[in-house]
Amino acid sequence: MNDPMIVEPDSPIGVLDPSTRTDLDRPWVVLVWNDPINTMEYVVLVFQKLFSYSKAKATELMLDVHHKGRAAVSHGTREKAESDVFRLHEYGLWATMQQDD
Amino acid sequence: MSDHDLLFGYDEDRRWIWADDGDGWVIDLPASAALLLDRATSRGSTARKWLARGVVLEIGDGETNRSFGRKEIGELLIEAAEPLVGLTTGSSIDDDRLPVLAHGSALLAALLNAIGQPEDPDAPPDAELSAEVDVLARFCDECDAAASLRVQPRRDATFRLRWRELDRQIVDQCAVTLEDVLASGAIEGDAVRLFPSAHAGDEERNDEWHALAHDSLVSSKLAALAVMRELMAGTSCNETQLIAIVQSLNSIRLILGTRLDVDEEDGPRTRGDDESDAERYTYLGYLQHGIVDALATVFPPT
Repeated sequence: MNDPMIVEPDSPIGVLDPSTRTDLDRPWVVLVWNDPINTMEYVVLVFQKLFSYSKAKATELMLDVHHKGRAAVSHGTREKAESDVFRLHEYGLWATMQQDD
Repeated sequence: MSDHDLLFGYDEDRRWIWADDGDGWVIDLPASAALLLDRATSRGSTARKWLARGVVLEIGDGETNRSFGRKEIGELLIEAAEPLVGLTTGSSIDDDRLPVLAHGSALLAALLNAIGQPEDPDAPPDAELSAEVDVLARFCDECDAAASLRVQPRRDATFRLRWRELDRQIVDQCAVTLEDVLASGAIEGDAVRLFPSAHAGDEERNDEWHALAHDSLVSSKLAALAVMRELMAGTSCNETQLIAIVQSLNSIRLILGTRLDVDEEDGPRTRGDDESDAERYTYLGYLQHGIVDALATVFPPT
């Protein structure tokens, strides 16, 4: 009878191989999409109010929305993303959520 | 940071004129702006001596140019500077003085700007004069804004409301439109931008989202609408209430803009019977601009 084979673990205990991560682990991202009705200054104001961004950061995100068609404005758990999307819809911005790639 | 910050030590977002607790205004100039305004005023008040270098102005649109002699310019400078003399930070002023200050600073800015142009077109303009012209123009804009805007911030983070009768009439009409759309339960057509999708390209998840969020969103928009209706008869509000007003105005613009098929390039398109919608859309945009401008004062620029 042979001695039991000892196998060295591939990774330290408690650290998952990234390829084994499940969907549940992936954070959610909230996107705001361009639309022709909301004014630029209003969008900047909403970003400042909801996410406490500086005017410079809020303006940068607004310009991304305007020029690139969309911008990621927040990240986090699904619950946080749902809350952020709802609040953005309260302000009349077109926001969607999806799991980060 | 803007060029103004770098050159003059004041930023574009900071107000210089605030509504006070009554019907008046308080001037709150940054130190660098106060210094420049004072220098420009002195320059105007002592015009006779300053004009010793001899300047002849031509002011006009090319067809009606008029030359001003030295004496005439001196009188104009003094007239323009007179309302600004003694203006200090902390000064309280009433409504009647706003247009006087706006006129005086605009006139003084125009005169100093013309006088400061070098004879050699390739030479740079007088930097000191340019700074004074800049501060005078900004001060004029602030006076005009204070006199004309419906919403003015106070330093205690509340806002003074000065609606016109036409504002109330148009907002009343549009509020009914918003109420009807919300009551219809629709999420398409005119309502499509009020209740947008939350999951791009995933119908099943969107249906779940609308099932869960729709009623709460309707309640939220109705609550904001109620605040707006109440405050169209009011003279003062706090930040939360002002946000409810701007949210409601925006909701109405989303409905009208959808009806009018607004796009990035062309704005509202009128097709005869919806001309009044286009006018309302534009008017509400003007009101919204004033509110956003006032609300911007409560958020730090950096």
